[in-house]
Amino acid sequence: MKRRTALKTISIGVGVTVTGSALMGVLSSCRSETKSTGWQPSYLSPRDASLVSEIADIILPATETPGAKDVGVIVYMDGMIDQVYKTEDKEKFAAGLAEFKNKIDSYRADENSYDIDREEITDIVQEYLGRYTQEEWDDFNGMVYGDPPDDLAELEKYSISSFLKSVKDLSIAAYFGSEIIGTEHLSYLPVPGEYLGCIPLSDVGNSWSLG
Amino acid sequence: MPIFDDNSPTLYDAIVVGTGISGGWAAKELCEKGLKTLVLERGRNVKHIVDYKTASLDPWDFENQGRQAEAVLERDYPKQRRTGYTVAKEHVHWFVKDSEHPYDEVDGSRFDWIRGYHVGGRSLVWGRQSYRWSPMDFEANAKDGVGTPWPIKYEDLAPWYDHVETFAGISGQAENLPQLPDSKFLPPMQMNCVEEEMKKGIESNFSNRHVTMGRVAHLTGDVKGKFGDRGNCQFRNRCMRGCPYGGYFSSNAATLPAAEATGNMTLRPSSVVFEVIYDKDSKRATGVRIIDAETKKTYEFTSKIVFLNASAINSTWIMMNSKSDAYPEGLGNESGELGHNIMDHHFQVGAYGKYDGYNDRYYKGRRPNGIYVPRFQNIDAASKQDFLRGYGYQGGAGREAWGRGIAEAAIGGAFKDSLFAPGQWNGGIMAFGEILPNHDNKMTLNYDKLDSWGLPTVTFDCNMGENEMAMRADMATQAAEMLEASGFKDVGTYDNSYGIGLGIHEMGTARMGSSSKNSVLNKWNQVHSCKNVFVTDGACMTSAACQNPSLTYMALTARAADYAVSELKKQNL
Repeated sequence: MKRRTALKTISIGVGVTVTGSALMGVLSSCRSETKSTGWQPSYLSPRDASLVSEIADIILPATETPGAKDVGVIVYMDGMIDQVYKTEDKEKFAAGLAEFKNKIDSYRADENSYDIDREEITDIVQEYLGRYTQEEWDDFNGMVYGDPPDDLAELEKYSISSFLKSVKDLSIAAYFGSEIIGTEHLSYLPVPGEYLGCIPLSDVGNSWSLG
Repeated sequence: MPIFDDNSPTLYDAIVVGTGISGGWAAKELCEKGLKTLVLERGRNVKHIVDYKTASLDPWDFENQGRQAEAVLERDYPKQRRTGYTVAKEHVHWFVKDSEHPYDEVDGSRFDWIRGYHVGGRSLVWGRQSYRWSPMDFEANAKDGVGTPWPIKYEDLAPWYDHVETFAGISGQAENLPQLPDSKFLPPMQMNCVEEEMKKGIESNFSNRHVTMGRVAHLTGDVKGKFGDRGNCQFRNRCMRGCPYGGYFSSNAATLPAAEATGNMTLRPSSVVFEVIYDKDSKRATGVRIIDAETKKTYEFTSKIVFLNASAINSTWIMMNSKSDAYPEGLGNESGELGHNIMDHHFQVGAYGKYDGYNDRYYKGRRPNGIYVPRFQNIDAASKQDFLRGYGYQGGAGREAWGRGIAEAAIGGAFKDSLFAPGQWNGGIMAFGEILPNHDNKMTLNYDKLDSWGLPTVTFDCNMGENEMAMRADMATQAAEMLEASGFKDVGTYDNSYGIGLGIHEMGTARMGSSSKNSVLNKWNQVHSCKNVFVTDGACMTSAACQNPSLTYMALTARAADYAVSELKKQNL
């Protein structure tokens, strides 16, 4: 795998540029020298949080709407793993993260560096998560929710696949359940006042944000 | 609320134990009929609106979007978590911690005892589905030779259904079905496009099957001033947090304020009633003993009548713990049925599917309600099955939201952008079925394992029977057939893990019947042999039917309160 130039713009911690929300301060929070500025991950190391945040942003990148990093999904993701995950799921996540890191040349090279080669990671994420027909995807899901295989090579695939599937699921919940997406991009109506059962979709636009 | 203090009297006309659905009604009816009434609640006080702290919070306002920490669940809610939903942060404060209120299950059996100890009890968190029982429900035990016959008929209760519905406010559609009598209705909520298709599909393909809008205790239509300070349902679907609009019926929003308005009610929270005091000379109860949940001091209160409305299990627990020379096995337990015949509604079985079409249609509002398929099995000769009794379905349809992305095989910008639009329509129906009374399904008191107040804990021994299991198979099959007939695709069925109690409709442990040989209570909900004690919560139920039971508890309570006051006036109590 050839080395690529690290993208300096995404090297700053978890890279959140959100304003006006409880997530303020996440921007530079992962650097040890900026601990006082705000959020710190509870479960992940700052460096791993930075990596997971990058993966989330590859799964849900910025388009005309914000990307995963823009809304600070890592705060929710880290909290979920730390507090809500069962012990066995935590262990599975940690094992998969370790295997994933092993595959990244740019990450292995300097254990103190926050520079992440996004293109390199994108290739790995695509390889494991992005190239399936729906049928193959069903098999993939069967694998990641099943028991770990005995075969070592299969185990690596299982571990990384399970890890990336968790990151995808957490990213989606974190992103669409965030205040920014919920109030500014989805259709937000906290007090509907009535129920109308069959109206033109064009009257509403995007999905309702509150379920 | 007038709260008990050091200057309050210890002598009352009536004592009501519990402030949930039925206790609130007992308090209202007795106070309105002029009785000085002490209302005892084992939990903390809850002020209407003021104490609904989470009522207007959005998902992102909660840590982890409201998902409860695993360590907290393992430590405090190992049994309450079985529902999956009660432990969410938005309303977990309305449910007890198992760590503070433990109970046990006999090896190999399961009973899900989901409780809320506070003023208002589970009336704050109930499902609000409100259906009358039918004449056939009250006749079923006698006809089938199961359990013991009901000592009342539908006609005995019908005027009391009218009475409670008019005050509570029940939204629904009249259908004129013999198996599901109509209530005094406020306007029904709307069905959505695909639910209308379900209605058409089911009603045109199956004789005697109907789809109606769910009947719920929510205020709809022009209600101004007719329900006191309560306002219309705002379609926020955040009911379980407590409603700041008073849009649904709860003790806190409706019955307790009415009781308070009479000036006759004294409310005492933190009052764990552990005994009904029995006087063998007069053969009457003279009052109750309580332990203060906070100070752990004990007190005695005296009254002419006692209403037990502590919930099926806890009212029974009080009676079982009220041992005396006359009642060594617990108050009113000559029959040996006290604590037995635990019933619930078994559910978590049904079908789901996708619906193609209506891609340009959507809905507005978060309707706290669904559609209802009234019982259609064993209602006449043509619908006779190889199991007894029947079931109804609750269900609905809606459009997929962004959560569908988790199941899709894609990542990236286009994938993300596609998830902003609503997905395809899907829907489903879930059955709620009758459980037969079975003497073997029981609770016992464990004096070897005491709680923090030094009181015996409960051990349950409850198991599903053959009739219920046969019914479940039919519930899944019929659900799938009805969805397919309505044009649904990719129809699947499910039969998830269910334990008795999960429906939170526990009932039957101090049943009504014809005599003290077969039951604990008579046709007026009086303890057969101790006539100034009335039990009008789920404990009194002789059979379970398949309808959600709270409306029937309300009607039975109002009826019993009316009788109790008339008997008091005649000096019969």
